[in-house]
Amino acid sequence: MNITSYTARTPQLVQALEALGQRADEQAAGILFDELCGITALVAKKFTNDRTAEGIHEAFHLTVGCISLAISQADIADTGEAKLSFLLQHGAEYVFQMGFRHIKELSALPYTAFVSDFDNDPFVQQRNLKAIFMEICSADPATTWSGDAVYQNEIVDRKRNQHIIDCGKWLRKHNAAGVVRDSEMDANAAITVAVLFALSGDGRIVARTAQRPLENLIAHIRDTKPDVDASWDKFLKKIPPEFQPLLRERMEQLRGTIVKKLYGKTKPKTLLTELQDHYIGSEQDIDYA
Amino acid sequence: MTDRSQLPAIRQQVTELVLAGSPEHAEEAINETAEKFGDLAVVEVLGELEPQVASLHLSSFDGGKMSLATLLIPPKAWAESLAYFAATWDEDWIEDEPEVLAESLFAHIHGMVFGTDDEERRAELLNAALATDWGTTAFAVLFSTAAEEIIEIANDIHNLGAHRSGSTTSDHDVIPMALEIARTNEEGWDRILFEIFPDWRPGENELHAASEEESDDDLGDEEARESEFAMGRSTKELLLRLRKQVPSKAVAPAKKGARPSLGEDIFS
Repeated sequence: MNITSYTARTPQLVQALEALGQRADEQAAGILFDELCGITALVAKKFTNDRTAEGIHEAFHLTVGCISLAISQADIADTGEAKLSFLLQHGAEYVFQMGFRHIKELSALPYTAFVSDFDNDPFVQQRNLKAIFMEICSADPATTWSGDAVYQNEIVDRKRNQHIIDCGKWLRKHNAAGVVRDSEMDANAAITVAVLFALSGDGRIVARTAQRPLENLIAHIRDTKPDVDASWDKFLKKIPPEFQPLLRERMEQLRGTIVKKLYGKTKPKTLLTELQDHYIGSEQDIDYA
Repeated sequence: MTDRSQLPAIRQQVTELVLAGSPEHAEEAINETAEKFGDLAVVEVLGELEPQVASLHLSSFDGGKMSLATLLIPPKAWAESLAYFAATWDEDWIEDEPEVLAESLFAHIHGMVFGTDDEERRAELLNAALATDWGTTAFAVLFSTAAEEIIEIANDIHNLGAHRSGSTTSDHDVIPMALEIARTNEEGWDRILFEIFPDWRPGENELHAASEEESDDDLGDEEARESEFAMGRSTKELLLRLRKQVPSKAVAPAKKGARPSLGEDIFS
C-alpha cells in the first residue's frame, strides 16, 4: 500500500458526503445535516465554547474528525459509498459515539511506561481526554487529515506501554525480597533491574534495588563470570509467557551495552553512575543499604 | 379595499428586517405600507406578525421613540407579543438588576398603553393584556415596584369602590396605570393583586409589602404575622415568574426517518 495515499486524504466523513452527493438523496441528506448540527452543538458546549464563532468552528472540525475516525476504524471497504452506507445505517450520532469511544480507549491507555499518582486523578484524566480528542479529531473538511493514522500509531504505542507497565507490576509483585509497594513506577527501569539481577544466575526476581546490592552484583559477576544466557533462561522460566517476549527484547538491547560493560573492565564507580543515570535510576532506593 | 395580495410579502419583509436587527428599516417598511395601502393594511400586517417578532420590534421602540407599530398593532397581537418580552432575560440578570428589567418592562407597557390618546384603544389594550396570565404577571411586576402605594390604592378601592378613589399620597409612575386598570377592568385588577399577594383573603388579612429583611425573621413570628398580613411577592420573584411563562417554541416535528437523538450520550 502506498503510504502517502493513506495519510494524505480528506476526512472519511467528507468522502462519505461526496458519495451522498452522487446519490442525491435529499431526505437522508436532511436528516444527516440535522444530526451533524446537533453533534457540533454538543461538542461546542462540552469541549470548546458554544458562545463564540471560533468555538463552534473548532467543534465543527472535531465533529468531522471524530466521525471520520469511527469510519476509519470500522471494518468496511475503503470506498466513499461503503462509508456512506455505514454512516447512514448507524446514524451520525452513533458513529460519533463510536469515534469518541475510540478516543476514550486511547486516553485510558498510558502515554508513557510510567505509573504516577496523577493517573487516577479525574481532573487529569479529563484534561488528557480533551487534549487527545483535540489532537486527533481536529479535521478541516477542506484539507487532508491524518488523524486516523495518528490514532493507529498512538494506540500501538500505548498498548505497548500498558504491556510494559503490566510486566513491571508483575515483577514488583513477585519481588524476591517482598512485594514492592510504591504508587509510582518507572516500568522500564523495573524491567531493567530484573534483567540485570537475573545475571547473577540464582533465578531470583529483583524489581527494585539500592546501591549496595548493585555493588554486590557487580562484584559477583566479576568474580564468577556466570553464563549470560543460562542465567537469563533460568530467570525466564519463572516469568509468565506473555511477558517473556518483552523481557527477551530488553535482554537483547542490554546485551550489547551495559551487560558488556558489566562483564568488562569498566570501573564499578563509573558503572554505577551510568546505571543510575541511564537505566534504573528511578527504581533505585536512595538509601545506601 | 386595496390590493391585499401584497400584504403577506410585506409581513415577510418586516419579519426579516426585524430578525436581522434592523427595526428602523422595518418601521420604514411599515410607514410605506401605511402610505400606500392605508392604516388598516398596517393593522392587518402587524396582526399577522409572529408574536415573538412583534415583541422584538415593539421593544426596540420603547421610551422616547414613537413607532407606527405601537399605535396600530391590534391589542390582541400586542398581548400575545407581551409573552415574549421576558425572553431575553437570564436568571443572573434578574438576580442582579431586577429594577432595570422592571423599568424596561414599564417603559414598554407604559409606551404602549399611554402612547395612544384613544381611550377605547387603551381599554382594549389593557383588557387584552389582562386576559392572559403573562400580562397579569407583567402588571404585577410593575406594581410590585411601588407595593406600598398599590396597597394604599387597593385598600381605598376595597373600601370605597374603584370610581370614587383616586387620590393617593404618592406620585409614583405606575399609579396612573394602576388607576386606569382598576377603572376599566376590575376583575383584571383583582387578578393582579392576587398575583402579587397570593395569600390575600379580602377582609380577613391585610396586605403587606415584601421586604428582604423580614423574610429572614424567625418562623414563629412569621407565622403569626402571616395570619394577619398577606405577604407580597417581591419584584424579583415576579420577574422570574414572568420569565418562566415565555412560551418555548415547540420542537419541530422530527423528520420522517430521523432517529431519536442520543443527546449527551454521544460522549458515553
